[in-house]
Amino acid sequence: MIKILIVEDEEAIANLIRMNLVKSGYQCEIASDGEEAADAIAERPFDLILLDIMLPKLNGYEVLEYAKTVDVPVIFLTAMGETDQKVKGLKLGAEDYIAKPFEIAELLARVETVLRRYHKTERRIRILDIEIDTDSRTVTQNGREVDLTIKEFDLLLLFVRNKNRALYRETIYENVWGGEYSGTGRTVDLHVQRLKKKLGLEEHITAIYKVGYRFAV
Amino acid sequence: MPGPKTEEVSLPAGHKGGCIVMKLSWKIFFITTPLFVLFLTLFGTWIVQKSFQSNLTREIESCLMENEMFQTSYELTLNGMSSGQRKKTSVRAVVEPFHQAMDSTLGCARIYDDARKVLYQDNELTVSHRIWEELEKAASVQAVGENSEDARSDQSAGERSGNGKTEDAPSVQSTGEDGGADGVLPQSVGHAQQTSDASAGTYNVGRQIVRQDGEYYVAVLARSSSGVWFETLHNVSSVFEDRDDIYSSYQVGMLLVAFFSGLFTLLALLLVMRNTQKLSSATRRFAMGRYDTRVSIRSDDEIGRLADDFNWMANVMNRQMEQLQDDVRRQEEFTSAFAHELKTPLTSIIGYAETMRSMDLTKEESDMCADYIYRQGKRLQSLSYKLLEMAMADQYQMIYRNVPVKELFDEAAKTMEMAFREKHLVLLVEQDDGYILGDRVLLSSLLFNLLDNARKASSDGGRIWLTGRAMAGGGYSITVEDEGKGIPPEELNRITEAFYMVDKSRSRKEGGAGLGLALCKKILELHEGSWQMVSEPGKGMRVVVLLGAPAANGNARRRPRRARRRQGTGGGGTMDDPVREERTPRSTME
Repeated sequence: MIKILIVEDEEAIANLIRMNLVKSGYQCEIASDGEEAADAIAERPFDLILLDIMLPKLNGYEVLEYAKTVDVPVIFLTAMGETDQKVKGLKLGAEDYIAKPFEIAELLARVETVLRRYHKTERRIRILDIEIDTDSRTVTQNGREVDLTIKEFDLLLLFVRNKNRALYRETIYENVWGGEYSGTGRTVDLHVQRLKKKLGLEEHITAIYKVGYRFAV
Repeated sequence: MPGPKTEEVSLPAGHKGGCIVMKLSWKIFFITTPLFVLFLTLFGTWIVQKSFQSNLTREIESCLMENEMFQTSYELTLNGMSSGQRKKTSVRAVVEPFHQAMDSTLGCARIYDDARKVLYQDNELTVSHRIWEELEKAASVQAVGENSEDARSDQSAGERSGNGKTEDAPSVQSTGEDGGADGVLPQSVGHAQQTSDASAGTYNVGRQIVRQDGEYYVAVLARSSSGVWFETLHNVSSVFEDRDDIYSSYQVGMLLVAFFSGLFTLLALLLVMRNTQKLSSATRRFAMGRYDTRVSIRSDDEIGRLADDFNWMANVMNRQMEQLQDDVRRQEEFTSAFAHELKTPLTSIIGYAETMRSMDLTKEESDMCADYIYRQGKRLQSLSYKLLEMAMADQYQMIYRNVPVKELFDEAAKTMEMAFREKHLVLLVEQDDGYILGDRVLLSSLLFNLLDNARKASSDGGRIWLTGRAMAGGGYSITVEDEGKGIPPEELNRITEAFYMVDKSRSRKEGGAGLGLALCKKILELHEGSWQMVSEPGKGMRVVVLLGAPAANGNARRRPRRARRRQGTGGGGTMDDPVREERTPRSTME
């Protein structure tokens, strides 16, 4: 199981991240200051560290220096959002950064991306009778390959990663298509319909009135 | 945030090579040296010419005198003879006795009659001159009645000698009548003398400087009363040679003087320019951003003063820049702290709400989410109220009156009662009777924030003292003291900065936004009060506030403030805590 260390001195945010990561199937630990984080990194192996910059005792940059010695990917959580802070973090060797305030779906997507880059996640995802190869971007169902467009594939991945979670149309749009959701287009609905039809997921992907869709397993 | 942008300003043209220094000194050098040489030349020439002229004049005068002496001697000798003797005697016989006796330096003497026939000559040397013509011309001018002077003839002859044009074409005039030298004396001496006296008057003497075979001669021709012409020649080459000698040595001297003075000027200029170069390079360094650049030129002249001015300017600019940088840094810190304070609760609220709406949560989980949302919302509220208060304090119209300390303390104690009870804190209030001159709303806010800070620092069951003392000078001091965890001395001067929190997580739990003391500071500034903070970590903290004396008449006094007071501005952070919302600071306003 993948273990993630959350280094965040704001209890509310730390809990929020942990709650969502746990729901997505990760194992989490919280460190509320720099020293605690360094101790945890030294004692236990982690697959990923989510690191706040403004921390008591040791700041995020110092913890990052330490984390590099054990070769753990780090994602910065930054409230500052200013370019030079991001650049500094990335230069020091962080894999990515997430600016507060962030959306949960965005957090999960970035975590997933970094983990995949480090080959920490399964290349192949099996769910129901579907097998997804994230590297070759192919989908097979009962041994038969299903032809999906790029957007349909991304949509499927989003549903799978957020299973049992209600996905709002805007969240779906922002994650798959990128950019601001206008709230009027039928793009999302159309693609969801086609995906359901191609994979026979009519029972599992359900529309939620006025909200969006949920992939229930 | 990137640092202050330095505008790219290119260097002024010509500064890049650093050769401007050479340029200016060479310029001055090349202007002054030729001028100097020219001046020396003109002046020297004038002096030499002047002395030459006076020497020449002296020579000429002596020549004239010589001629006259010759004449006189001739006349005297002639007069001493009888007319019979005269007829028998040749001119040579007349002349020779006294001529020989006369100065041997007399270069050459010749005697002519009116027909220009040589009657006597002691020397073969002949020079061509035009004195005859000059004299004739002068005589003819006189003859037509023009008023001319002897001086003119003299002068024109002098000029002729001076400009040397006629001197240049010497031609040895061969008279071819050597025999004539022994000619007979003219018979009509008396007559001639008469006509001479009548017609020529003073026009019977002429002179000219003649150059011949590289030698200079003064030729004097005079007609004596006896009707013969006396010509004397005198070699004056030495005067000309002297002039040329002086000229050439003067030129050498002048060149030396010009060379050394030029060298000196150049060195002096380079010395001065080196200082300006120092200044110039210092200015460039300063412009490139090395603001610690100073020039050290120890001199009282203009350059030295310019250097002093430069240093002075650099100091002033440094100070201003430091202040600006300080302001910018503080502003950046405030912005970044503010962003953090704002984004943290926002992230929590949005995140928990999103979690709640998109996932099936257990009752327990959703309660937890709701609790977080509520608390973070409260935190945002507290932050915005505090910020609002800070902003308002800036444009708040204060109402000054004498506020009874007892009322103020009672009100503060009542307001804090619930919050203190929660932590089982004991508030010990003691005060001297008295008044504080100030704005009641702001003073309440000050007191409340100080007590709230003490509350946050205190652990369960601690004691807090609120003490008021009337000062001897009419002021009033308020002391708030707690037994809490205190503040390390090195952080004491930072705690009044907005959003600065010594212990963030603890302060957070107590619902602080890090703005309380910043607000207190502002209120104190408005009241022109002062404060003192003493703390020892682990033992507690004491804040002593000193406020001004009350007005003597006790009447309300208004101080002009920038803007009108707005409704409900004096809340003094009352919205921090649900408990404190009960407090009604507005009731204290009238």
